[in-house]
Amino acid sequence: MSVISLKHYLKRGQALPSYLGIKGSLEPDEAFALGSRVMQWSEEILLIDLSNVYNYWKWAAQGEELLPFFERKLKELFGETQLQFCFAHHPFQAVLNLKQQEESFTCLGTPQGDLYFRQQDFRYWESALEEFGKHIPSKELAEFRKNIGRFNRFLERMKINRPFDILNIKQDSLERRFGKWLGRVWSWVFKGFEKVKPEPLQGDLFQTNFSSFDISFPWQGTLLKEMPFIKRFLDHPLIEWEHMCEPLVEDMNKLLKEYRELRQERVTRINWVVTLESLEEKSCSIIFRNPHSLLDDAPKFETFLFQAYYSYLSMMKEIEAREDNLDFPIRMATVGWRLEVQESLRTAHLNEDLLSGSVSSSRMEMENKLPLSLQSFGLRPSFFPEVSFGPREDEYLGEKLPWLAASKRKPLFIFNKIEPLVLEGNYKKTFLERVSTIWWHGAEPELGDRDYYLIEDNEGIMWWAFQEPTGGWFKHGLFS
Amino acid sequence: MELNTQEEALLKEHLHKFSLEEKGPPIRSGLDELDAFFLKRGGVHYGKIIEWGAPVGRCGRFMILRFLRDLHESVVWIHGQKEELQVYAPAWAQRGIDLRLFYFIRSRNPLPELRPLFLEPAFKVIVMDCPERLSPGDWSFISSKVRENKQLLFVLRPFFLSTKRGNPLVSWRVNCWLRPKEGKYCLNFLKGGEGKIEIPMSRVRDT
Repeated sequence: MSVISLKHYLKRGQALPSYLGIKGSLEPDEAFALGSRVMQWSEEILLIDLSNVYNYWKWAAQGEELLPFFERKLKELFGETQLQFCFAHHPFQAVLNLKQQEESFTCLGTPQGDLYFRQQDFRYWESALEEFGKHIPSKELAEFRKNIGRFNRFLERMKINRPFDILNIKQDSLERRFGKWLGRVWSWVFKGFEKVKPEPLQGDLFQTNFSSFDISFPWQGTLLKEMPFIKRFLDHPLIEWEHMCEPLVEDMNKLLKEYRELRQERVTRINWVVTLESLEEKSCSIIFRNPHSLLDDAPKFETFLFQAYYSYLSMMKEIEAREDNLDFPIRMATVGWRLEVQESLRTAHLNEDLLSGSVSSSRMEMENKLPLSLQSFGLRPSFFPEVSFGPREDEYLGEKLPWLAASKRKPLFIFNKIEPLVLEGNYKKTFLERVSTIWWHGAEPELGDRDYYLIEDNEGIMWWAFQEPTGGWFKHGLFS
Repeated sequence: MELNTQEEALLKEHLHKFSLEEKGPPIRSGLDELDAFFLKRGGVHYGKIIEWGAPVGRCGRFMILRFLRDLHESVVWIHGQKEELQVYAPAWAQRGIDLRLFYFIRSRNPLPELRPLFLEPAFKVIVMDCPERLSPGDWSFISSKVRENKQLLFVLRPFFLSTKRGNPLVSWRVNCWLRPKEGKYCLNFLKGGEGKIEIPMSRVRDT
C-alpha cells in the first residue's frame, strides 16, 4: 500500500473535518501526538477528535492548508506504514469509510472523498454496527441487535444497497421503526452533507461547547497511560478563592517539576477533584479551548487560574442551589484536592520555537483565559441571509462576493428566528432588494422569493423586513 | 524664560512630532468633518475611551465601523444586545470590515465576565455593545487598563447620552443616529469638542 499520491483538496470555503480515523496497528498513546481525545473503537481502528486542537494545528501549519499539512505530518509521524487514515465529519463516518477504504488516505469534504463515501455499500455496515454495539449500554444491546436484523431484512426486501440512495428517509422515522440507535447512526452518516446554518452566539456564561463534539455519540475516550497528578490536604479549610490561588499555583509548579514530560505537552483537560468540608468530593473540569502549554503558563499559572475559577464558581453555584434550604455558610469550605491531567497533546515532535507568533496564537491564549469562546464568521455564497454566513473557515471570501453589493443597506444584527410582522399604524417602507429562489438547487420551501424593505415605524425605529409573494410580512433584522 | 516666535514654532513642531511618535497617527473615520471634531482633542488614539449613544433601530453603530475598517488590528465586539439578535456577518463585510480580524463574544456583563480581555493587549480594539452594568469601580479598572495596554475602547449605549451625568474617564461622549427622511447621520458631541454635525448617508456608505 503506498502513501497518497492522489490529489486531495477541500471544496471552496470548507474546513478540514474534525475527526480522524486510523486503521492498523497503532497504540492509542501514539495517537496523542495528533489530538488529545482518542477513542479505541475496535482492535484495529482508533478515532481522534481534532476539534479542540484544530486552532493549534492551524497555528502550527503556519499558513499552509491543513489537509496537505496533515498528509505530510502523518508521513513524518508514522512513515511508510500499513496504516490507513480517514478525515470525517463524524467518528462513525470515519469507521464506515475505513471499513471499505483501499487508499491509505481519504478525506470527506474533498470531491473525491465525498464521491467515494456516497458510493458506500450497506455490506460494510454489518461489522461497523457490530462494533458499535460494544460501545452502547449493555442492557440496550439485545434490542439493538434485534433492530439491526429487522433493518437488514427491510433493506433486502426493498432492494436497497446504498444509504445515499434513500436520502429522503428521516432520522425520526427510522428511530420509530428501528430504535433510537439506528436512527442516530443514520443521522451521523449524513453529517456534513446537509446544508449548514449559522449558530447564534452563545448566550449563557459557562454553557459553552468546547468542541463540535456530538453528545449523542457514545464516545469513550482513552485516558493517558500515566496520568500526571498531585494531591493536597489543606492545613485549614479555605472558603475565599483568593486564598486558594497560592496553594493551587504551588501544586501546578510541583506537577510540572515531577512530570517532566508535561513540559513538551499541551494540556486540554485537567480534572480538579475538590474535597469539601462535608468530605464530599466534587469534580471540576478545567478545560482549555485550545491546547495549553503549562510550561509557558508557569510559574504564575494565570490562564490555569482563570479556568479553575470559572469551573469552581460553577460547581459552587450548583452546590448552593442544591443546599439553598439548609443553614450552611454562604460557601462550602474546601479541605483538599487532587489535580490530574486527563487530556493532552504530545507536541514533542514539533519545534514550537520555530513557529512565529501570530494573531491566532494570541487568540488561542486569550480563548483559554475566557469563560466563553470567541466567534468569528466567514461568508458563504448565498443571497439568502440565513445561509450567507457561518463560522469562519479557512478561505476568506470577503468582498470577492458580488452579492454583497446587491443592497448596501443591510442591518448588522438579524433575528435568530424569522417571525411574522404585523404592520399597523404609521410606517414608512423603502424597497431594498429582491432575493429569488435557488430553483436550480431543488425545492427549499423556507428559502422562497423575498422582497426586502426598510420599515421605519412611528417611533423612528428601523427594521429589516421582507414580504413574500403571498403577501405575508416577516421581521428579519434591526438596523442598530 | 521667554521664547521668541521662531523658537516657539520650533518647540511646537518638536512636541507635535514627539506626540506622533508616541501615539502614532490618529485613527480616522475617513469623513473629514467627523475627524476634524475628534482632532480638536488630539484625535482618536489607542489608550482612549469613547462613549457612544446609539439607541437600537437608529443606525448609530454604522459610524463606529468607519473607524474600525482600516485598522488592520484585531477587534473584539462584545455583543450585549437582546438574546434573539445575532451578528449578520455579510453586513459587516459590506461595510469594509475584515472578518478575519473581527471576533464576537456575547456578554451583558463584560466585567467581571470578560476581565482577561482588559488584562493584556491581545485585542487592540474592544467594543462593548450594550453593557448592562458598569460600576464606578469597573470604569476605573477599564480606564487604567485601556491606558496601560494602549487599547481603544468604544462603549456603546442603547440610549442617548445626556449632559446631566458626565463621565470623567472617557475622552469623548457622542450621540449618533440616522435621520432617514433627510438621509443624514447626526452626531452630537457632548464631551470632547461640544457641537453637532450632520453627514449625508451616502457619504458614510460609499466613501
